[in-house]
Amino acid sequence: MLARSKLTTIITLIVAVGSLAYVLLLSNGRAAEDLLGVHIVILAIALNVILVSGVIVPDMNGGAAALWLQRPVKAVPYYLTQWLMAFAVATTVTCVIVLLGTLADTYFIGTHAMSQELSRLPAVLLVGLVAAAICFAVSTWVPRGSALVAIAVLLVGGAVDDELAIRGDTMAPVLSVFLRVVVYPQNPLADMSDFTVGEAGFPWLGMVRIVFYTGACMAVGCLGIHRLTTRRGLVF
Amino acid sequence: MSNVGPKVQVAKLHASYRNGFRRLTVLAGADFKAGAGEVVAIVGPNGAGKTTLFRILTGFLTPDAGSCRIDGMVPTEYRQRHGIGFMPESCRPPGTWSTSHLLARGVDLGVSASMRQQEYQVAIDRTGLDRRTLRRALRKASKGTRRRAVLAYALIGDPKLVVLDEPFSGLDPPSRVALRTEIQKAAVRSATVIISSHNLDEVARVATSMYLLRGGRMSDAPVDADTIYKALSEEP
Repeated sequence: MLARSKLTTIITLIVAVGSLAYVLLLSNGRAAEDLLGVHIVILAIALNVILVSGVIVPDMNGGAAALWLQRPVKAVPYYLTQWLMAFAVATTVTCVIVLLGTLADTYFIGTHAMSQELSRLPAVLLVGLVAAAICFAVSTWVPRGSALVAIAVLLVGGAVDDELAIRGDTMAPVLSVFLRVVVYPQNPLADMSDFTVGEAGFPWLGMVRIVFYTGACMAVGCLGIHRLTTRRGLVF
Repeated sequence: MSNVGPKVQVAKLHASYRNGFRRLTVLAGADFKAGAGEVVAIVGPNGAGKTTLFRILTGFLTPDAGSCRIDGMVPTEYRQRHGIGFMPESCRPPGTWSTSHLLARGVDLGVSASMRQQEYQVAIDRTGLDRRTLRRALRKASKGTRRRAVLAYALIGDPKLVVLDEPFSGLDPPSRVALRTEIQKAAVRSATVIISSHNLDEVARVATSMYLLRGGRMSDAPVDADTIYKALSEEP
């Protein structure tokens, strides 16, 4: 399932985040705790992007899809299953890292900063789910460098969503609604994170936006698979 | 499901690709028929449109015009219902996978649980590879080994429609003999076999009928080896 280069990238990423987290925890400040949270979110996103692009793009580009799909299976359910497996692995690795980090913090470092991250874990996993959905959508339409494009969609979408939060009221209502539908729901995810640690109420509207955005990404990905396997043709 | 191979009917098939702002016509009217127990060979020089024809036949590309029916169904529907034994001209299975891993996946995808162990053993025997080679990563294996692995994968579960794109390419003489035997065995069990090649000598030994494909145009009726040889000799 996973190429050796991808595995090396993931291990490097985990070691880098772990080392940074350790240094940040030792500095023992509020800013350090915030940075630690950001790093764990980045880890969840990166794991999902690497794993999801690793199971779909090589199949489509290298012709391996023609091997699996010659059997009596349907392309869209097959790749949705592959996507689900990649997401499950990324989720498990994220959970294990946060749990191990919390244990290490509690017993060896003693700052208890990781306990906060443990509480935020459901929101972190939700961020990972949205990232995995974006990568799924992009990987079926962009033949090369889909992981980088997915990250660009996240970064640009996040920046636009921040602008929306600041200037949304001054925009034309139609444009404001349109942007809220199409850009990465960064602020609703942050609201979910605040909810998980009891700093805010449940963001119903934000949750609707997250569910809609994730569903739309998955639909775009399914359309891409259908196009590749019939209309445009697989590469082999 | 019928125990004999399907009836394949291809009529006035046209296909083209977009090349920048231009459309490049690859198939300009391909017609042929194939039935149970027949081995139909499509012979033509490189770039004649054989692989495009096979992409349409296996349901991985929608033609611009014309019809392709397998037992009255469009190829995608037939493939998803019954599966097709398909050996692409070039495909890269995941690099870290071994031959045995690839065959295990093939058995999982296309064979009922009760028959898996038996089919896996048949597929392993079909490769003719020793245990060490079976476990070696496919990216480290020779082209011939990879071709044998993909052929064994394609024949898992004795599919009723076998489509082999340039099957003799990259095989050593003993493997070519083994491949001819496999093709004849498939025809004996009433499968419909369609192969393509630019190697006339090899296909003439196994084919029950041959069609010439040149510049996207196919001969109206089956032709004999001498006619094909003369036509190919006149190629500029």
